[in-house]
Amino acid sequence: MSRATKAGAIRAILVFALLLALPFVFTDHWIVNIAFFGLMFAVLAVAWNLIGGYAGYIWLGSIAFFGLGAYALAITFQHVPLTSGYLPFFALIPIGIAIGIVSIPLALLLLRVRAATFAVVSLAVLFVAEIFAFNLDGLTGGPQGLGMALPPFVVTTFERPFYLAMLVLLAAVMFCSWYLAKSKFGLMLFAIKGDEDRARGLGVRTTTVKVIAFALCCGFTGMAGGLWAYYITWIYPQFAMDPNTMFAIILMTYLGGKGTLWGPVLGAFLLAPAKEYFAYTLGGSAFYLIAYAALFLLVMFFLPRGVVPTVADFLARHRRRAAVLASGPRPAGEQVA
Amino acid sequence: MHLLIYGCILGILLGGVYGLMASGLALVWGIMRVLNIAQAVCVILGSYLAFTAFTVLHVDPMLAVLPISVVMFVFGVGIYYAFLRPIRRDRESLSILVTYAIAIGIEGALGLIYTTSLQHTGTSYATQSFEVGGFQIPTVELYAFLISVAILGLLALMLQRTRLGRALRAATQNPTAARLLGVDIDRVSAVGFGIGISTAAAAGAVYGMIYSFNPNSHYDLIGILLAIVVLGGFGSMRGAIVAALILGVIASVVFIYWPLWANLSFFGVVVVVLLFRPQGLWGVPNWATQ
Amino acid sequence: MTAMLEVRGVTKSFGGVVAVDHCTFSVAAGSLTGLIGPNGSGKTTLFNVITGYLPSDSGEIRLDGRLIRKPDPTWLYRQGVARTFQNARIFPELTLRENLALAIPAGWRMLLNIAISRADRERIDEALEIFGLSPLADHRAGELSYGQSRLLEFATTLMGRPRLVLLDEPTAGVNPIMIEILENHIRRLHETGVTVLLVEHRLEILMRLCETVIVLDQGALIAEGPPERVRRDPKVLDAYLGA
Ligand SMILES: Nc1ncnc2c1ncn2[C@@H]1O[C@H](COP(=O)(O)OP(=O)(O)OP(=O)(O)O)[C@@H](O)[C@H]1O
Ligand SMILES: [Mg+2]
Repeated sequence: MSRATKAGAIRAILVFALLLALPFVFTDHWIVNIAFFGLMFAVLAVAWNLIGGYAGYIWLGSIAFFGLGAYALAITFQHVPLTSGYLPFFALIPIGIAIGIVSIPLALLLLRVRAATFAVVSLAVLFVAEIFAFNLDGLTGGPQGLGMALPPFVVTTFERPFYLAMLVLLAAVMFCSWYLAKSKFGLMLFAIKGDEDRARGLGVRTTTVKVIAFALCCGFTGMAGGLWAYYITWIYPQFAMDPNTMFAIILMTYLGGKGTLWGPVLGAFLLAPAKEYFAYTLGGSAFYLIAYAALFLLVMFFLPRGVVPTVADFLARHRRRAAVLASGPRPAGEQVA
Repeated sequence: MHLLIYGCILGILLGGVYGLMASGLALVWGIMRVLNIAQAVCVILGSYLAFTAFTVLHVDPMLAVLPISVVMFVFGVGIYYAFLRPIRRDRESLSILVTYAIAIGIEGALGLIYTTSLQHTGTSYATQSFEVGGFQIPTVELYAFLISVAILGLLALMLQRTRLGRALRAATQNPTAARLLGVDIDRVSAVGFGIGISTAAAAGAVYGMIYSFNPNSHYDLIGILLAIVVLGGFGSMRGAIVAALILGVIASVVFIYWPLWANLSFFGVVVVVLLFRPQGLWGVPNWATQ
Repeated sequence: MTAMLEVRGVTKSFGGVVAVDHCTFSVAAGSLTGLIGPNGSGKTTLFNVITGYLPSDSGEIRLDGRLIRKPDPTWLYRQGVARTFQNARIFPELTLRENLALAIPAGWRMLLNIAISRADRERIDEALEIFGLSPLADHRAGELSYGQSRLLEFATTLMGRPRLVLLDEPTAGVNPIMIEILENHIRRLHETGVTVLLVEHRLEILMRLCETVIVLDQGALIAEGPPERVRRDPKVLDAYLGA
């Protein structure tokens, strides 16, 4: 194992250990609740990053799959008893896989176009999903929403199982993201972001690569949606497939640093609590939207590359300068780029 | 059969208004490769301005169209300089996110001023209709259509005949060559964006007489507008107008038979476009092959 | 000699502009063929059609005598047809190593393999050595000079062990020393038995390198033959002076 990988592994273990300890140290409902949403957005942002960050495709329909997962779980457990309450957690796995598979034909259709056209048609996916959720009221309850049986967990630590399940999901999606970034497959995704046509001319099966990344993104997003549905037990179409949530995921990814491993997680941990806090104090009102817009624009203009790459660059420059100073005057002609 | 023809007539009337909204979107894309997600909220903003002019100043929305266009032109130019000009890298993707943020900012501001309850510009003729050959034509929809066509006509005239129009077209066709010929791309972009926004608002002024709206309505609208530019081909104003008419007719007909699913028909068309002609009716395929 | 590439009656127009007009020629296996023509005569477009970047309006393309119905860049690369672009296309965000690794064809194991496997690594190091890029191996390709990125693009193109390489003005915008380096690499490539189709403006290079030259003007093929003869062809002189 190289030094960089070792440092990375230690960092990951440390972060996950802290996250694991959190609900046992802080037992207040509101803290664990917010932490749950932090983890959920981290899962969503890391999953989005696979296609949006690594491959550079602005995929605006991912929240439709969040809703799909939510409805899939809720509808399944209309008919299946919850038993001890842990069954739905395991049901997420087949649901995630099924959603990943279902997304493949859609991916083949959408990925016929690129760039802005892709963004537009992917946004259409979100609208279509919303229309279905509203109109298929036999299945989804339409605007009245769809309820699930209350999870039979102890009230004092009610949030804990959900939190831990989401943590496991985060570990899974991050492992996936890490592994892809290290693999030849990840290289292909980066190449697609850089210059897709050139990649095609170098034998990269771009469609296959994009479709796999897309399906992974949708599968994980759907699992997060299912868990969310079980947690809040009553889902409405406008919350299960909210365009604002969609753009919040993107904003988090950009804030942390798109295309990086930890960027989306960092962005989610920074913004998700803020989002919950503002939604709570400003009540989802007009002020909330304005604050959100302002924050969005601030990030876009002042941190377009995100925190992680900016900090990494700064550190690299600092280290290089230190090295140069340590080694005395540098030979003429060599550049510090 | 009668119902079908009726649906087509209403669809064309409505399609004209959508055409006005979407042509601004296409113009802006053509000039500067910015996909303006805020186009729809500017339509709603136009509706609110006309609503205010009507309820407070008792000005008929059809007269208010002109001042609203002028005000919104200035607004659009301001937005361009404040938020779009600074985007240098990766404009195609970033502009989507930035204009989305602008859209929800405006949505929030409208919510503050007007609350989120549904409004409607209830002119005296709002509920009138007249009969032509056995079809009941709503008066407002006809007026809205005529105004939209008139504005589109003026826009076309401007693009064909004036120096500014030529600069705009040159910028659309070949920005590099246009720059070499002395066109100030920056200023042309600002003007183009202003025009795009003002067409949206003008369409909004008449739109508010036909439908009720609240700050949230732009979500329904943006889906429709995007479907229109996908069908018409990005950056093609002619495509946008034709596509708006086609989609208007399809949606109206679907509405008559399955009212709940009318909005879905827009996206059904998008699927067909993706399958058979990804570049849209008048679009050029995206080849980067130098 | 058998023809490696045959182009028959290929036409491609953009709106009113006929960029390639009923072109017919063939490239013999193992040959080094030059393709020249004034600016805008359709050389790049012809490359794009052959390598599947643009669909042709009519005509057919054969590889080893086999008709290629719908050329596709990915498939062609895996069949041993590689190309470069007129304005050196590399991946500036990736390191040189990664640029080269990407071009090594990968099967389904791509999902599981690490980015640069050990076997690949040796080939990559070898290529870097040959092209004199070893010192920059782990730098981002964006840091390269233009000439160096041309070298990298050239090296990348060879990672798939092509049989036919199409080079689009490899020496354009490059300093004289680099031109010589590139010229040597092209010659070496030819000597290893690879078929090369080379777009080049500088006649003296073509004279030195090529056995056959094809001349395009306004999309149409106007001359074909050894460089000395083509150079004196009145039609060719006309095309260049007229343009
Ligand atoms: N994607 C395209 N869309 C429209 N016209 C094009 C396109 N590509 C090329 N053309 C036109 O086709 C003609 C041939 O262009 P091409 O690039 O093939 O010429 P070339 O021989 O490579 O020229 P150069 O020596 O400048 O590289 C030109 O008139 C060009 O303007
Ligand atoms: Mg060329």
